[in-house]
Parts: sequence; C-alpha cells; structure tokens
Amino acid sequence: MNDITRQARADLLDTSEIGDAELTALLGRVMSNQVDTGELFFQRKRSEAWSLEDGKVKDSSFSVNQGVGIRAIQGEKTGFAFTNEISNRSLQQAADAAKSIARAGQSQSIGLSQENQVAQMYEPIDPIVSMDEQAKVALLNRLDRLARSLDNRVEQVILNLSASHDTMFVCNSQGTECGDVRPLVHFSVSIVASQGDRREIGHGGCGGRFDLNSLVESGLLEDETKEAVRSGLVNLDAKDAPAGEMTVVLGPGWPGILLHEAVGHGLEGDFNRKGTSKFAGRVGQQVASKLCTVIDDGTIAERRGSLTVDDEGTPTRQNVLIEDGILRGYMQDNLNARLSGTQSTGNGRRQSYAHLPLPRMTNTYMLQGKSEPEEIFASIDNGVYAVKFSGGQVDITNGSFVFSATEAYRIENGKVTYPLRNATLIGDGLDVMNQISMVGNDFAMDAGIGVCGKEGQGVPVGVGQPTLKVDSLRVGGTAT
Amino acid sequence: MTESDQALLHTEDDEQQLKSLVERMVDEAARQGASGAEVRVADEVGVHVTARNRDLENVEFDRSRSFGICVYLDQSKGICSTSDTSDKAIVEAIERAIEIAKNTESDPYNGLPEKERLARDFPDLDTSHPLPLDASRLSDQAIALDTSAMDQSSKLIPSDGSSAHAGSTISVLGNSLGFLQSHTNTHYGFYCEAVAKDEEGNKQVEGWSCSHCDPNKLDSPEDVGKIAAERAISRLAPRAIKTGSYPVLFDPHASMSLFSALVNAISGEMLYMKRSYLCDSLGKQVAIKDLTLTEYPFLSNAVGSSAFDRDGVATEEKAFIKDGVVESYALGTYSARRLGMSTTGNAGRICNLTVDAPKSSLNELMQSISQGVLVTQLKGAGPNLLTGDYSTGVAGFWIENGEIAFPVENITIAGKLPEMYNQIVGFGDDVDERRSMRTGSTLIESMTVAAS
Repeated sequence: MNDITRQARADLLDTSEIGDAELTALLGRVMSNQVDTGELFFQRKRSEAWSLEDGKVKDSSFSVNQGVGIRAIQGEKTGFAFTNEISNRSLQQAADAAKSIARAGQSQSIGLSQENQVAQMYEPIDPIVSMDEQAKVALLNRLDRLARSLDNRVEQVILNLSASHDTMFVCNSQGTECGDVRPLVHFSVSIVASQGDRREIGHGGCGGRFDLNSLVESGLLEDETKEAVRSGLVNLDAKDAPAGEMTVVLGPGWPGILLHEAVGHGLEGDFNRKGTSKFAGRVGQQVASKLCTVIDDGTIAERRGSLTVDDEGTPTRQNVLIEDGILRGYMQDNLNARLSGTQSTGNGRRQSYAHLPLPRMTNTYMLQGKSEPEEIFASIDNGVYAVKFSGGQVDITNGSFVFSATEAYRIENGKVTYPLRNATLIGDGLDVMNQISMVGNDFAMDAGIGVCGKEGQGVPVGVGQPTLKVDSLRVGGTAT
Repeated sequence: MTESDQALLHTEDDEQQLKSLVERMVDEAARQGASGAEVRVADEVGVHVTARNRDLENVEFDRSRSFGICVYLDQSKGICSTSDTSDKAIVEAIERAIEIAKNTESDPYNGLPEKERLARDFPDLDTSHPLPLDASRLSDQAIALDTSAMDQSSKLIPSDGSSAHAGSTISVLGNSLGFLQSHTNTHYGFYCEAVAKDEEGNKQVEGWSCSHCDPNKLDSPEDVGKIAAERAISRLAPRAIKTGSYPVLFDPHASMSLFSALVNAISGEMLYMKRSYLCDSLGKQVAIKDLTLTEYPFLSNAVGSSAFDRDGVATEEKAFIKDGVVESYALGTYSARRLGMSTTGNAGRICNLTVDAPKSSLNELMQSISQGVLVTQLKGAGPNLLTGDYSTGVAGFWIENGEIAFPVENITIAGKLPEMYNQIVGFGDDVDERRSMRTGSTLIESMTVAAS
C-alpha cells in the first residue's frame, strides 16, 4: 500500500471498528447479489471559512462532513446508499440497500490488492492548521486596508478565505484499494467602487492545492485584491454593450470557461454513451478549427482542478480531447468506460460520499498558438474583447452555451477602446470552435477559482487558454 | 427490487430524539461559557430512482443528518457544523465554535432575536404526508415517466434519464431563549427529461417536473412524461430572427426568476451591503401599479408554508410590494438591526411568494403580441442587482400575430430591471399553485433581443 493510501485509511478507519476483515466482508455482502462491481467510498472533509465585511472579520465557520457511500453496479444499473455513521452496522444496512438493485445471488469472497505508488500532485497536508486564527484575521485586515488604499472610490470590500482538508479512501470488488488526502485553499475578493451615481462591482480570486502560507508567499492575494479594484474602477466608465453578432476576442486564463462549456461538458463519457451529446459518435472528425488543441489534465502540480487519483482510485492523466481540431476522445469514469468498451481516463469524480461519481473535468485548457495578442486586435475593425466572466452554462444536446462577461471592451479599428457593461455571450459550441481564427502565444491558467456544476454536484476545476479570436459570436447587450 | 423496500419515513420518535439532541447541544454551549446559542438539525430520509430508455437505471437511498451550531460570546459569533452526531463530536464542535467566536471581532448587531418576536403559535400546516419508502413503487413511476415520453412520438430518443423521488426532512431549531420547534416536510416529485431528434439528426432536450409535499397532488407520471416529450418536440427546427426591440413574454417558470430578483433586491443582506439598486426604496414606486407581491406563510398543505423563519421569529402574511410600491423589506434579525429596523420574519426564507395582480389568460397575452419572443428557458448568470443591468441567454419561441410561429435559441434578452418592472403590460392566470413561488406568465412591453 502506498504511503498516502495508508495515511488516508488510518485517518478514516483507525478510530472505527472497520478493519481488513470488515472491509472485505462488506464488499462480499454487496456482491452477494448478482452485482458486477461493489464499491465503498469513505470520506471526511473538514472545512473552514473566514470572511471580512465592513472592515471587520466577524464571520467564521468550521464544518466536518463525513460518511460512506456504497455503490452496487449491475450492467447499466446502479444501487447507491450512504451513511454519516462509520460503523459496521450502518455500513451493513447501506450495503443491503445498495445491492437491492440486483437479484439475490451467491456470496463471493473479495481480496483487496495493494496499489502501487502514484505520483502525488500535491502534499497531503491540512491547510486549516497551516496558519493560526489570529494570523488569518490579520491577513484579511491587511488586504482590506490594501484594497481601500488603492483608490478612494473603493466604497466597500468583502473578502473570503477558506481552506479544506479532504481525506478519502475507496475500495472495490475488483480489488482496488486507494486513498488520497486533498488540501484546497481559496481566496475571493469583491469590491464596490462608486463615482457620482454610478456604483460597480469588481471581483478577484485565487487558490489551489497547497497551504495558506504558500498562498501568502505567492503574492496572488495582493495581485487579486488589486485586480478586483482595477476591474471595479474600469466598470465605472462602462457603456452599454452592443446587441448582435460580432467578432469577439477572449482574453487569456479564466475566459477558458469557453472551452469548459462549449466543448468540455459535451465530451464527458456519460452523455456520449447515452448519445445525448452533440459530440456523440464524432471521434476522429473535425469538430473545431485546426488551430485548436484542447486538453483535460488532472496532473498539473497543486492546481485547483488537479487530483492524484480520481474518486474511483484511478490516477489522473493528461487527456487530449481535441488535437488540431480533430476530436480524439472523451472523458471517462469506470462505469461509462466499461459500458463504452474503453478504459477510465481518471475523470470519475463526485462532490462527496453522498453523491454518485460521474465523468467530470479536471483542468481543461487550450494549447497556445503563434499570434501576438496585438496582432489579433489589429485584425479587427469592430468587435468585443471579453476578459472576465461570472460564469457560464451549456445545453450539451443542442450545443447552446452562454457565458456572462463582467469585464469587456469595445474593439474599434484595431484598438481596444472603451469598457462595456451588460455583455452576455451566447452561441453554439461546435460553431464557435470552428470560428476560432487566431490563437495567441500568451497561454495562462486561471488563478484557481472554478467550480463546475453537473447534476447538482459541484467540484473544483481549472481552465486555461491563450488570447483567442472568434470570428462571429452573439453579444447580448442593449445597444442596437 | 428485492430488499430494503419498506424502510419507514420519519416517525414521531425521530422528531423527539432530534429535539432532545438539540436541547443537549444548547445546554452544552451554555456549560462551555456561551452567552447565547442557536442549534439547527436537519434529518433527511429519501429514495431517488432514475429510469432511462424504458428501464431502471439508478436507485439512491438517502439518509443523512447534520447539525449546525452558532454560539455567541457577547457580540462575537462562531459557527460550526458537523455530520457526526456522537457525544464526543458535539462537545468538540461546540469547543470549536467557541474558539472561533474568541477570534472574530464583535459586531453590535449580532445575537439572538428579541424573545417577544419568537413564534408562539404553531398551527398544523399539513406539510408532512408520510408514505412507506417504497423503492419498487418509485421505480415503476420512473419507468412510467420515461416510457410515456418515449411513446409520444418516433422523434423521441433515449434521454439522460427521468426520475421519481420521495423523502422527508425534519428540521429542528432550538436556542438558549428556550425556543425549541421542529418542522417536518415530506417531498415527492417527478422529473422527466425528453430528447427529440429531427430528420437531419438535430437534437433538442427539454424537461418537465412536478413536485409537492402531498403525493396526491402530483400529476401522473404519464402526464409529466407527455408534457416533457411535447416540449422537446416543439423545440425542433429553430429558426433565426433579427436583432431588435420586441415584447417579451416570460413563461411561469421564467417569471419566477423575474420576481425573485425583485425580492432579492429588497432583502436585508443586499440592502445593508448596499449591493442593490433598491437601497432606500421603502415607500417608493418600483414597479407598475398593478403589481402586488405577497407572502402567505400559513397556507395549508403548501410546500413553502412555515410558522417561523430561520431565526425562530414568527412569520406573517404581508405584501413586500403593494400596488407597485415597496411596502416591506425582507429582513432577518441581523439585517434588520444593521439597518436600524425590525425583523420581518424573513431570515433565510420567504413563504409562498405570490404575484397578486389582475390576470389575463395566456391566450389574451399572446393575442396582444404582433411580433415578440416567448421565453421558456433562461441561461446564464442572472441580473446585476447593484446596477439593475439585465442580460441573459434564452430559448423559447417567436410569436407572430398572436401565435407561436417557430422555436428560437441562442438569443439574448437585455434591459434594465427598474424599467422592466415598470413595463409589465400583462400577468397570466396560468399559475401552478403547487409551486412555492406562485406566478403565471408575465409580459414585458419591450426588451432588446440580440439575434442574427
């Protein structure tokens, strides 16, 4: 057993009555019906959050959420039950509920095998205890003073600092036994700037899988605080966005949510096995402009979307989704891979023990191209440049995606001119990927703020891209 | 299904057990030196069954319990929550909450509600209709939903799945002022997802759902499946329209987001943080005269009914907007103190928010439109409540001479909330009274539509 698995298993099980004999007996109990695969997923997640508002750190909360999810899979059918209580009795009850998906069968004996050492994508640390309470309060107070000192139009500052320590251990009837200890820290800043009768919001944020001291040392806290103030001030001068089709330039980094929405979700294995995705059956076909290579990569050290192993114990990988515009493959978990006759790509993720795993993205990005950003702007007479977004969503069946810009500019005669308010961008995923005509040489990942939602489950993700030129996209402003 | 079919929903014993757990936690907080404490427990039991391609897919059994404790050390606050309800975990959680309170700054507005505002009357609101948790019945219903949709037309292809669920939630709230009350809600529902495909291979997905605390108030799975299928088929072969300003008709579901934005803009947190365009709007005209928005907390057998809010304060029937004028903000104890006002019993909830306005039939609203957009799906981040800017992606239908002409997608509608609420020219009577927010369709005179 590798060190991390040993540590995770000890953290979760040493204080309970569950040992090797009980684990194999529980898996055997699930498999006593005619089940193909049984799985036990143990988790304890401790989280802490501090917030500053009105110049004071007066809200803080701590939570512990622990439990066990038991899954029984037979063909395309899944039985699932979970419990908060890590005791043999409640696990037996959950096992009986989960296996009821299948008919009674014969008892089986299960042997658990030792997984090999896997390259770790982060240290198995507890970021909550990496800094003491007074230091966290002092840090937020310092950033509040920084934001207010930058410009006297900053009227209000809201800061949030959170850390979590997520320990999981999964074992299944195929013999997999695997654990992980996942740190995650996150900072967000939101300011209101005012000038005359205009008031506008600016946002910033950062984070990753490291401790709070590393977050402080990275300088990102100051950078993002300044960024929030800058974007709030920019919006004070924003004019109404245009309405209609136009050329759109997307900035580097966080605007990569374009890829997440326009192609990422449509390439998740479940939607393609079920045939509901617009990308179903298109592997090997040209689905994007030749300039596009899109990758999902859970192996970038310490990134928010990275995982050493996914929630089924499969090591994450660098998966090429689209190469030079050609669709290469989908993202899979165990269930959808098996039903599609392929292997898991390490994308089986779940929000918690109380949720079923699904094929999910990790860090999704587009490789950089050759164009200088200046060259891209110079090629446009009339367009929109979008640099910050509050979020997006997609309908994977008809391909329609939308995302909402919180900072955008007009491009006129090759130059970025004035800021725009109220710009929603909407289009068809396949169409927009084919409309990408220039790809910048300025690749960046986002600062570590993404949350992806699917079937009511939220998981942390990353996105990245260089500056991109989309020849035609619909902009939803009010100015006609 | 073979085993575990007949586990029971909540019993009165569960409720008593949770109440004594809450009492113990409030006492423990006092023992550890808290000057005040508030404890919430939520206990859920349920089954969720999914069917796909006319066959059973997933059966999920839910059984979870979590509690949250908030302690006060004078005017400093600490919050801790945990899903572990062992005695040891409770003591540790309270220790942790007190430790947090010692490190947060004091806030003069913090604290428990005024004792005289706590709810004292607890009428039976008939929100609990327990049935045995029967996974076989739910799988039959889920399969019936999916089969009904698939049977509607040869255009239907297998979707990602349709589901039936049943469950019960007991919430208990206790505080060191002696308040200790529970509220039990059962929940039953159907959701059908349907995918339609045309001759060219273009696909459209649509869903339809129905849920209630009383299983007898649900539509049949067959009817829910049929509506989902019809909705998916109706979306096939969308066409392009021209960018311009047009009347926009929000269907009842889209209308809910329109009015929840208005109530959000007069809610305590948005007001004291000055993140709303409706700060200092009490007594001011913010919408057309015909619009009154009322909450009805004491409706019997209604999903959104409750005798007390998240603070334990008594709820009351009242208008937030009366004849277009802001009559009351939506405040909890903390936000009210911070604004120098009194709580309105709206901490964490607004009960059965209802649009009270002169209503027309959907047909009359449609007939009044010569060219316009009917919105059935909203996509994107929602309005900016600070500036009132509204821009969102939509899908729906093009209306020509009072009739639905063809489906539209990948378009946006945009405007400014203060203008939109003053440009409502019609309210539909197509209200589903079973929903916790009760509105029919809403017609807005003109918005910018970005299209081709």
